[in-house]
Amino acid sequence: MKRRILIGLLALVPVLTALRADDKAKTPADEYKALDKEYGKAQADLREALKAAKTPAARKDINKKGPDAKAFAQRFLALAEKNPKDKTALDAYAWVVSHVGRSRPAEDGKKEVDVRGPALRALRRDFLTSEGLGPVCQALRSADDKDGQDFLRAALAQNPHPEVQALACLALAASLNSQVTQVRRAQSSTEGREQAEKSLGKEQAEQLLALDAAKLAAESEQLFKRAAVDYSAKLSKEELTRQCQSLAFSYSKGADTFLRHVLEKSEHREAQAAACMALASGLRNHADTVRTLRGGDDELRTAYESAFGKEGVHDFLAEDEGKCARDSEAFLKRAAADYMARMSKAELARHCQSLAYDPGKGAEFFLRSALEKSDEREVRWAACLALAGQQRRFADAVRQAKDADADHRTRDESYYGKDALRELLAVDPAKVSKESEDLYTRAATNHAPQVAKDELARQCQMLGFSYNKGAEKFLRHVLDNNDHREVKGAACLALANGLRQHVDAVREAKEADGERRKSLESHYGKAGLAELRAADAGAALRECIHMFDTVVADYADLKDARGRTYEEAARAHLYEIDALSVGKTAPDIRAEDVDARPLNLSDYRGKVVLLDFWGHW
Amino acid sequence: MYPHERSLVQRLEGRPFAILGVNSDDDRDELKKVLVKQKLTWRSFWNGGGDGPISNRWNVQGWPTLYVIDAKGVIRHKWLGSPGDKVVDEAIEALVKEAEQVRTPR
Repeated sequence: MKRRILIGLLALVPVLTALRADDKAKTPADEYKALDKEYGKAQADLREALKAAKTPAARKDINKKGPDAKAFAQRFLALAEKNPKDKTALDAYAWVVSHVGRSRPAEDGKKEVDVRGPALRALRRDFLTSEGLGPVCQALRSADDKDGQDFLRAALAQNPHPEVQALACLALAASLNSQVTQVRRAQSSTEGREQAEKSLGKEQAEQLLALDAAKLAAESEQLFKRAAVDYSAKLSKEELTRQCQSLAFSYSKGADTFLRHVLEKSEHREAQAAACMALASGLRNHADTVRTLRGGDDELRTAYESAFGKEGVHDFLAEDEGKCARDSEAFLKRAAADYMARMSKAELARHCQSLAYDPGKGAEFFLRSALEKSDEREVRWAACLALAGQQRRFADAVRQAKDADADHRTRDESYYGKDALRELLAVDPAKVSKESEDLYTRAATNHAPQVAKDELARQCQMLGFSYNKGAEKFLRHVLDNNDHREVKGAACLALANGLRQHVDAVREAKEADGERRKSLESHYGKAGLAELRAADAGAALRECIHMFDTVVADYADLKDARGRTYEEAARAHLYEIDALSVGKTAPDIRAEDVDARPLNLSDYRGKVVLLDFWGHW
Repeated sequence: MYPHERSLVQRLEGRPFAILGVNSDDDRDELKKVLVKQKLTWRSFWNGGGDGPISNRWNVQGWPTLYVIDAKGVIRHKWLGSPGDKVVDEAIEALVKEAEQVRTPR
C-alpha cells in the first residue's frame, strides 16, 4: 500500500517539473509580484477610463466597476494561506491589511466577507515576532476597531524588535485617538447613534457605545508619551520623519507631546524639521477650529457637535485658541530659522502652498525666508505666490479687526493678545494689499516664465476661484505673455470665472441694505464695501462676458478638473448671466419631485418662492 | 437651515409664499427618512445627485444656493451659501408684502 503511493508520487514528479519549466512565475514571491502588478494595472486602467469619460454618470459607472480591492485581497489571502511559512506570506497578509478594513454590514443587512480578520489571525499565529511586521502595524493606525487594536497590543507586547514596537505603539495611540471622536459622536445624539449603526452594524455599534471616551483618550495620550520616550530614538531617520509628517493631519494632545519630544530630543534634523512643521500646522488648525466655533451661532455649534460629539465641543471651548495660534507662529519662525535647509524641495513647496491660507506673522516670516533664501526655483515660485495670497488674507484680517464692534473687539483681544492686537490695528491694510498685488506681479513676471506648463495652468485654475485684484493682474499677465495654449486657456477661463465672482459681489454690494449690508460690511470691511458699491457694474459684466466668449472662441476643447470642456463650462456661465440674473424671469423647471410626482416651478406663480438647491449630506 | 426654513413656512402660512427645494442627494430612500425626521413638509425637485440636470442647468457652483423669485416669476435675489437667516427673512417679507399689495389694491 505504502509503496503504491510512493510510486504514484514519483510518477507525478516529471509532470510537476514540466509545469514549472512551462511557467516560471511560480515561486510565491513571483506570484505576489504578478498579483500586485495586476492590481496596479487595474488602477491605472481605471484612471485612464475616468479621464476619457465624457459625462459624470459615465464616471460614476466606471468608479463602481473599478478594481475591487477586496477581491484582490482575497487572492492575496489565498496566496499567503497556500505558502504559510514563506516570507511572501507576510507581505501578502500585509497587503490585505493595508488595503481592506474591518468587514462592514453590506447593503442587504448581511455581513460582507471578512478578509482582514483571517489575515490578522494568521499574522498573529505565524509572524507576531517577525522583524517585518512594521508595515502591518502602520496600516492598522487607521483601523479604529477592537480587532485591529488587539493585534497592535499583542505586537507591542510580544514583538522583540524596537522599530516594530515603536510603530505598534504609535499606531495604537493614533487608533485609540480616532476612536475617541467616533465614540463621542455616537453617544451624543440619536442621529449619531443611528449613523454608527448604519456604518458598523448593530452589534459593533453597541460595543462602540459602551466604550468610555475619556479612558480611551487617556490611554492614547499615555501611548504617545511612551512612544516618544521609549521608542522615538529607535526609529530610523526616515521613519521618524514620516511619522511626524503624518501627525500634522491628526493633531491631538498626545500627538503634541510626541512631536515636542522629537523636536527637543531627536538627533535627526529632518525629523525635527517635520515635527516643528507638524506642530505649527496642527496648532494653527486647532486654533482656527476653536475660534470659528466660539464666533459661530447655535447652528454651527450643532454641526460641530454632530462631528465631534458634545464632549468634543466642550473640550474645544475650554482651549486657549490665542495661545495655540501664537505657539503655531513661534514654531513657524523656528522652522524657518533652523530647519528650512533640511526640507526637501517638494516638501518646502507644499508647506508654502498651505501657508498661503494662514494670515499670521509666523506664516509671513516663513514664506519670506523661503522666497529670499531658497536656492530652488520651484520653492521661490511657490513661496512668492503663497506670500501674495497670505498678505491678502492678512490685509483682510487687519480690516476685520479695525471694523470690529465691541463684542468682536473683546474676542480679538483674547485671540491675538493685547499687544499683538495693538500692533495689528496700527497696520495700514491698503499698504498690505498693495504688497500682495506686487507679489502677484512679481510671480507673473519673474517666476511664471520658468514654471512647467501644467503647474502654471493648475495655479491659474485655482486663482479663478479666489478673485482679487492681484490675482487678476497675474492672470492677465499670463494670458498676454505665455506661449502655451493650455496655460493661456486656463488663465482666460480663470479670469472669466474671477470676473464673474466680482460682478456678483458688486451687484450684491449695491443692492444690499439692512442686515445684509451689515454682514457684507463685516466681511469686506467698510472701505472694501464702499469700493465695491462704487464699481462700474456694467463695464465689469461686459468684460466678463467678453472673457467667456474668448474661451468659447479660442479654448473650447480644453478640459477642466471635472473633465468638462472649457466650452461647456463657459456656456453654462453665459447662460446663467443671460437667463438667471437678478431681474430676469426665472426659466421654468419641469421635473419630478422626490416622490416621483410631476412638479413645475411655474405652478407657483402668484407666490413668492424660495428656491433652495440643497442636499442632506 | 432646517429650523429656519420650518419657521418661515409656519410664520407665512396662508400668505403667498412657498419653499421649493432642488435636492441633490444620491439616495432617495435615505432622503425620505430625513424629510420625515426633520419634518420638512415642502416639496423638492429630484436632481439625482450633485451633478444632476437641474443644478447643472442652473449652473450651481456650491450648496446651498438660494434663489428668491417674486410672485410674477422674476428672480429678485440669489445667494451662493446662506447669507444668514435675518437677511433671507427680510428679503422674503418685503416680497410677500409686495405680492399682497398687488392682490388687494387699496
